[in-house]
Amino acid sequence: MAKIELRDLSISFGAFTAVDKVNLTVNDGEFVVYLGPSGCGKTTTLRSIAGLVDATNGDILFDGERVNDLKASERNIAMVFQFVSLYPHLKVRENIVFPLKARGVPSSEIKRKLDWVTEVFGLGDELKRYPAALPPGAKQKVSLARAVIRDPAVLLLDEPLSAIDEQFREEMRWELGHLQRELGVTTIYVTHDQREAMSLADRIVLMNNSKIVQVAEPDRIFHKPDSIFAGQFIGSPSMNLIDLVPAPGGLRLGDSAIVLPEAAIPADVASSHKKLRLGVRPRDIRLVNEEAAGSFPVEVEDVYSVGRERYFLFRIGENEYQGVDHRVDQGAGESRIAFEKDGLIFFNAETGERVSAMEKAA
Amino acid sequence: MTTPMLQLAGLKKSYAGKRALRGVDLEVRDNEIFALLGPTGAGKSSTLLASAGLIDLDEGKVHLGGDDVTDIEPSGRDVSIVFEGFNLLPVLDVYDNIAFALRSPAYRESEDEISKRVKRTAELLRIDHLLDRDVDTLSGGEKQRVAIARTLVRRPRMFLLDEPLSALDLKLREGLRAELRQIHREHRSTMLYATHDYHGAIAIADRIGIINDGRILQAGTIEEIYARPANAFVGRLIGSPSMAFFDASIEEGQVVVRGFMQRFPLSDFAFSGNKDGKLLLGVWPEDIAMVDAGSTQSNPGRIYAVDNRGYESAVQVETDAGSFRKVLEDKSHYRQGETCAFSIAEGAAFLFDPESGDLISRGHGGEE
Repeated sequence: MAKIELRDLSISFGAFTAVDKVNLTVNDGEFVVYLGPSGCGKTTTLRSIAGLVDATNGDILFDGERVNDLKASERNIAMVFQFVSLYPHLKVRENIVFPLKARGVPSSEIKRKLDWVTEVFGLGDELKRYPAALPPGAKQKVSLARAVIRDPAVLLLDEPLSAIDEQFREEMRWELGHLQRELGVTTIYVTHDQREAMSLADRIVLMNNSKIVQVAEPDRIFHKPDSIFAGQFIGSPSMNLIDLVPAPGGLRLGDSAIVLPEAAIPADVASSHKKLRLGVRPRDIRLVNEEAAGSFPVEVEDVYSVGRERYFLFRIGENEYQGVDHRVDQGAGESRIAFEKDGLIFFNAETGERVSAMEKAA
Repeated sequence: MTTPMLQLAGLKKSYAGKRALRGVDLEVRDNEIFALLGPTGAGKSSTLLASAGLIDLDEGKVHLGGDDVTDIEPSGRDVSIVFEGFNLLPVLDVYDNIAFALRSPAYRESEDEISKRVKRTAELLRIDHLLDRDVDTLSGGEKQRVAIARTLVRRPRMFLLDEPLSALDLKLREGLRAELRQIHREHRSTMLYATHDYHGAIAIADRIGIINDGRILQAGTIEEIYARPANAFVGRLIGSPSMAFFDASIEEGQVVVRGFMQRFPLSDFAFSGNKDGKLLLGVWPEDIAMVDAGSTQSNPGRIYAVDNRGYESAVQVETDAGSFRKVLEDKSHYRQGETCAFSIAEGAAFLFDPESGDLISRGHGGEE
């Protein structure tokens, strides 16, 4: 296990900068998840830590030692990919101990290590079977067991669940979270799936356009996104965005006649004199029947069930927004909505950065 | 009851001796979105291909809008199908790929009408800025949207969508699902949507059919399936998290789960017992409450893992008789490895046959 540091790391392919001056410290034993859209630079970063891609500038340190010039095989990393590559002609047991045998580890030590991963991974009958006989989730578990059996400094996981059917994927997500905490191995995990990032990470590293956008604990990045991008990328369904226009008594919502009263606007937002955009997560919007304080009229266009949740689409002025509330029992038509007071996030409409310093209890 | 848009009766199909469909019966109503949910290899694609007329059936009948179309060619069925792949025509630009279907001899639309419809559909799928691009220069997500646009530009009797979104980024997938719903809202078109993703199915569907091993196990609204899951397999595929299962047995007129303090009287289930007394007890996680250790009628467990979800959290709990997952409304104070206690709401349990997985009986007063 090790502490991993990236200092001003940049990686270019010709004229294209895939990773742009990235700084990050991953603590010993920490589970860090790199999250971002396709092409944001997250996988390239992971591959550079593994030694599969050369850094163009900057340093990569393992426990304070610069490893830029070490080959992948010299870095003591273990990497697991999207597609499982187990040896089909070897039984699961032989697959798992292969890295130890290849290094000439004594057989008593191999047995001790095998007993340990068998216990932690809950493997039993699987050891005697061939990989082809295992369900997809179990194969990925075996490749993980093989990866950690030789105590790597860091475990690198590149979208390990994305090729697995939804049902097994959820199973493996739980298994991964459990195993990483049992093993205590420093882990860097790459995914475009914000659900995976939220459930697994000690900290999320959100990337976009080759740069780190925000690094924070899941709760913090969810409730206190630094930017519109972070607010929209994390959470499902996506955060609603409503333009705000200065008006007598407060801020008008888009092209509607509805004014968000001054009392609902934090002082630092009101005094910022910026062009503002309001972010509200669908679950922070309630449909209310009577004229409750702070509620305003909207036209509800559609209400439908998603499992036990009720989703509703409504219009403010010309634009359509979404809310989620399992208590909704009405259909489309005239109604009123209210925002949860601490669910309002104010962004600078031009830069996309969050304006308010508002703290939300996480 | 009006005539169903699509009616499948007793569909059977084998590929080189391997049985893909073992008697599929299914009805998709006019104007509904019906999701066919099942794991890879369950028979979803074969069901869609049979509906479109793209495979020859060994047995069974396909009716569209009340007409027997079993022996009708695909071109005569007036359905439109999107596959998981793209199937775009590489020599044409995006506009011509979308317009292709409208120019077939079967439609003979005027170029004016074609232009209007291509542009409207492209706007809806947010690819209107790509119309003059070669399809080879598009990203995967863009190609998939072009493929969907090419299907939606027509107004067929019915759309057949085979995992249309599974190759896309999660965020793009959620956006496209919303767009499909909007198209449905505007045009009231009938859709049969095959997926292995429960969240994808419930986000779009009016009704859901669970398919496994070439058979439909159950079809209904999500509420109907929750109220009476026909098989343990259905319980494992439905719900977020899915149904909790515990090995159970019958002792002295009660259903007993090893390690549980709670007992479940057989009279609740109107069930007198089976041959070896072995049962599977199923409970929706929503009917399980996490309680303080030492509460009366609580059952002991151990926290296997904790899952963070923004507003709420979820835990996986292990017991001697099985494990379950549950969403907690508040942020979890539980830590991995801790002991915990839980209780099952009265009358909320279902009994399944451990061999076949079939539902034997449910609690709630045992009205079955």
